[in-house]
Amino acid sequence: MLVLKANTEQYNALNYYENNGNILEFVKDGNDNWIVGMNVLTAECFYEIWNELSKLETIEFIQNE
Amino acid sequence: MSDWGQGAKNNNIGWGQGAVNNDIGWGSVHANSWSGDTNIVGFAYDSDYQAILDRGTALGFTLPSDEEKLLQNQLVIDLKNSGAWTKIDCFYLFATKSNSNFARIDWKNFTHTATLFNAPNFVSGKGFQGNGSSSYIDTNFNPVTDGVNYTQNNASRYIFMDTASGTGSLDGRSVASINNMARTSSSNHRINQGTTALTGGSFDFTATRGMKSIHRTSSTNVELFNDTTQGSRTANSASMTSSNQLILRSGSGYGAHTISFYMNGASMVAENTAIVNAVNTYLNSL
Repeated sequence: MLVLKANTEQYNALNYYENNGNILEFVKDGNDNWIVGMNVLTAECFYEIWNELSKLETIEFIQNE
Repeated sequence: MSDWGQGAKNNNIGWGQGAVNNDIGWGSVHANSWSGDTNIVGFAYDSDYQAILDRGTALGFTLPSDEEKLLQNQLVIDLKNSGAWTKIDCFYLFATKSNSNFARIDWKNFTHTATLFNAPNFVSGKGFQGNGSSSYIDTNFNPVTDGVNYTQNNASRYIFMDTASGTGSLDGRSVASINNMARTSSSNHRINQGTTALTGGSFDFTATRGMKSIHRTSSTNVELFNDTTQGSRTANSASMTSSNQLILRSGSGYGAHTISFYMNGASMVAENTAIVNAVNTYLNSL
């Protein structure tokens, strides 16, 4: 499964973006990366920040144990 | 030939009787009536369901269709008739065809709505689907501050899973292994017992679709259900942790299931069959 990885600058700019009861929240994967699912790219609630989301790096998801 | 006025006068069927006797639901009457745009008078939703609609209007949410309103109204009535309604503190019906906003209303506590983290996918008529990596639903229900019926030694959580995906979390807290259920056969389903596992063996929540619930009936006894199939286990209760109940997340584990319904309240073992039937009736009628 592919997910989106944020660097520190992207994390600070986007984390906890809120729109109409929807919140973007980066979570830690098994490699200590801040990630969100690819689905945020097609979520209507996040269209306003789509340009920024589309610049996140795509990586393979590693489960955080 | 009679016009409407004469018909009403001559056919010995009053408006109220018509609704009872003609095997046509109110919505169908309105849709099919020869009277076209004439509104049917005399019908009122259950007062608690009307309050939910009013809550939706106040929040600016699009309300369900008339057909769906009737089904949801009946669900409230069925839960009242079962004796469950007054035992519920937190109630979310995610399976709606209207829109994801109305699905975020807590039908029992109007001080909050559900918060959607990382865009769980809204599937019309089914509910919200997780992505298995980061998306979940915060009920904004904290049993310590919001629990009226839900108490340390008398509590339950219900979740209806429409579609399963793997073995991930059904519910939990931001801290792992507290008040959590997962789609596994395990002794690690918990209710007000800290991180302690159940005694008495694992309980199988791996069914692909259906209602799953966990009930604490005393300081020691825990009852679990797959729909109406019951298992009894034990685990000493512990002080409740002050944090929100989450859906499709437990700690850093996320589920990818599709969830149609969720609620918290007092233990409802005696009401369980009626609850399962009422929710199934609603979901199968959508």
